[in-house]
Amino acid sequence: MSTGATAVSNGRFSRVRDAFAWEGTGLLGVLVIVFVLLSIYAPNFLTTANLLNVLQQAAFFGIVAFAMTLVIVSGEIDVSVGSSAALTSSLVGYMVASMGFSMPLAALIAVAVAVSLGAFVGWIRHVFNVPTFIGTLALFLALRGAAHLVTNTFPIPIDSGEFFYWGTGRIFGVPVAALYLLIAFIVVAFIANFTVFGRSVYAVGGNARTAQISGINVLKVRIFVMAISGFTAGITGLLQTAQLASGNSNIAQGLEFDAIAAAVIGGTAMSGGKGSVVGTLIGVLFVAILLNGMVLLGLNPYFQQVVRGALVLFAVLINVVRTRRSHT
Amino acid sequence: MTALDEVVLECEDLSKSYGRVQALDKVSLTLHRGEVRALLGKNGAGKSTLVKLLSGVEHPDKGAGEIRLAGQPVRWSSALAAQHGGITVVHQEFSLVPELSIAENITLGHWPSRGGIVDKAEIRRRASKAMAMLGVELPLTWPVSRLSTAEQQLVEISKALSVEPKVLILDEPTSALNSAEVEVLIALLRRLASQGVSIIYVSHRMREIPAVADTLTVLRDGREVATRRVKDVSTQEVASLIAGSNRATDAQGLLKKREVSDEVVLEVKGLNVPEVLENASFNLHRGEVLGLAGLLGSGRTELLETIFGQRPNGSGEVTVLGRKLGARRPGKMLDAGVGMTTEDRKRSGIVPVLSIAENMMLSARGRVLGGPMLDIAGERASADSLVEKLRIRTDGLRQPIGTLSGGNQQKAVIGRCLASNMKVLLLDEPTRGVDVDAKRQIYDLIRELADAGVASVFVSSELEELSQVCDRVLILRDGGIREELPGDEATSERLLALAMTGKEGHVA
Repeated sequence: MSTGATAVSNGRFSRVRDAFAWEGTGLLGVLVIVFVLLSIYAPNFLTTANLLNVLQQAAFFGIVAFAMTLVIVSGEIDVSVGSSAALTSSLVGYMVASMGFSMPLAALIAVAVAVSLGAFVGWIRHVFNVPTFIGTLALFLALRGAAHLVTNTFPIPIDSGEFFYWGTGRIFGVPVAALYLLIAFIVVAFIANFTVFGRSVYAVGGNARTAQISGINVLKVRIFVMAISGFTAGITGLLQTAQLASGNSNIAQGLEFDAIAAAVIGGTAMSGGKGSVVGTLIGVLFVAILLNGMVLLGLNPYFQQVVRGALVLFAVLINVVRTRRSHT
Repeated sequence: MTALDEVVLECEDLSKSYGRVQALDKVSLTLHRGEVRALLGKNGAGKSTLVKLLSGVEHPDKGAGEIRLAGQPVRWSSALAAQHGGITVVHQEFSLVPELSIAENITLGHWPSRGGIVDKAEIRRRASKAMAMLGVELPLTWPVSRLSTAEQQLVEISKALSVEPKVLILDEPTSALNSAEVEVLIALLRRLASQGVSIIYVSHRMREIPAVADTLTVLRDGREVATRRVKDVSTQEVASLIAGSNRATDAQGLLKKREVSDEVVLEVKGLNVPEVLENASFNLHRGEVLGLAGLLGSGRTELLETIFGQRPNGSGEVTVLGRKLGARRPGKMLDAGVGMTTEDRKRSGIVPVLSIAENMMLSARGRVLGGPMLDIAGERASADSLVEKLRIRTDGLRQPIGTLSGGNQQKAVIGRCLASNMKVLLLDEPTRGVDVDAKRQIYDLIRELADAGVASVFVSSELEELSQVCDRVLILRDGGIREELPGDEATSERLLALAMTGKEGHVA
């Protein structure tokens, strides 16, 4: 049962029971094993500095992955997030460096563009029945191109002074990016499990016709979900901008697939209506820890891609097997 | 109407049971060359089971009966085997691939090839031969998606003919056609019969029977009740053979007359759906159960969908509790207190992966339960009480609804309307695919709700249901509301006769 079902409980110990019945449990177990093995064999893995670093790295695709979970649960997909993040970064660089905008204003405008583009895809999905794969594929191509046009493919250095603190600084030693990851998780998990909108996302993804006849505004759900995805892409673009201290059109290549992979590893079904933000968090941590561990173990970086691919397939197969067993 | 003496198909004492349900009980049938046999019966009478046995989709029970084709006993291993053997079915739902050409569709599954390359000329040759047999001409290279429903039906029949069957079975072939198209189809079928093809014609529409069929067989409760020559029987007789009710027991089942409030909760005026419904108007009173009787394709579903704002091409005026509702859509109707359950539960009734509780709360959220945050305590209380009230059998509120039985699913779907305190329910075939006990419970529920002031529009193709549950029944026919019967006069027999022909007397 997904965490979604926590909305209505029917027993005093249901939450405890759920924790064991929950699909992510197996993955969590594997994650713990991997964590322990890396702690033993990978030098410097189990240090505060390294673990905080893992969280910071995780933020670069994790924030998007949470929104992507909502997108996939609603029965859609968003492959434009990487290009959208790149456009955000490029626009910020251009507005600050060439137009003399203040950093906050530039950030606001650039994120607003990302949000609107997402909302637009949700709108044409509903009204013209353009599949979101197609709509966002178009953006994937067009926005990357637009980003390159804005920056001429060169990084636009920007000096925003203290504003970058909000992207690169630390609070009590914890990188702010890691905090954003945590905040994004809490907010999206809350939306998914405790708001009418969040539950509507599951209903629309599970059966849009039923949702519509039940009085759910399906158009609104689709627009909002895609807009949220655009928003997280924009935030990710800003984080990278701060990290690199420049507007850059080459960032976030492959972000969409990292995010989708994390959601799928976490048990989200591509068929819609099924998935959980908690599962995605585990998927995000799994990928981040594994990548970090491989770096520490000195493996060839290209090997990481292979492992990640295997992980996606493995996780989905496990879910399929579990589902089959529970149905017989 | 010459039926040649040569016997093509014989079945003897065919039986088929599903679990404890005897779907078909020792049915025998003899079909001659070039004969058109109408197969009649209510839903669940055994028509489709018989068709399935004849066409190899299902097997008769062990040792229960025999099918002989041209004198030879046959036992089909599959539908394909039956097709090769000479029995082909044209199903009610089309099996055409919209983007393939007419010729490709007609020969689908039997595409000739030369060295792995499709032989297009041969495809066209076979397709035009099949169409010539039926006596129609359509552009072979057009994609099927360009054709009207009636033309697609003809392609479907041509496809069946392409394997040159001895027996052609047509399942409700006219349900999607208008009356002019029906006439054309009937003429083509008569022509086909005169070429020696035997046809089994499954239909509800009594009026077509004399025009198309030589003989008719009536099934009821899985048994053959009568086989007659069409010109020897009246509609009245056929209707009572189908209904199988003697008046005494039927009258007992009728709902006793009740006082119904004269407060109008739903007023429908001048409803139109192009090519389906014209100028349908009625009033629904507080606490009233209003039945809509009509055959498949009579516009029952379209009527409800138009009221509920589900049909972009439907128009008309709807007033709920004195308030006129323009630009209707489901959300707005629910806000006004009108809920709907659709006839196809899987497609638009449930969200199968979500829990039963979630499914019941979909409409209440943002309405009686408020928003934007979930009212978790409220949801739980509401779901608990609904499960109890509706006697839904479940392992727990969190069981995915897709794993429940049809009856329990349906109760939950009705529960969704109740959770948000609807005043008017539009129920489209609420007992379809539901077992007998659950049906009874659903009737009782609708009556209980009526006593509590909730009005319902009840659409059903099982006319006995309407007799038992409704205070008043409207008969839909030929694109409009044609008659009205008070509940205590609405015997299923009368409803059937009216729905089929508009007459309670003889076929012309």
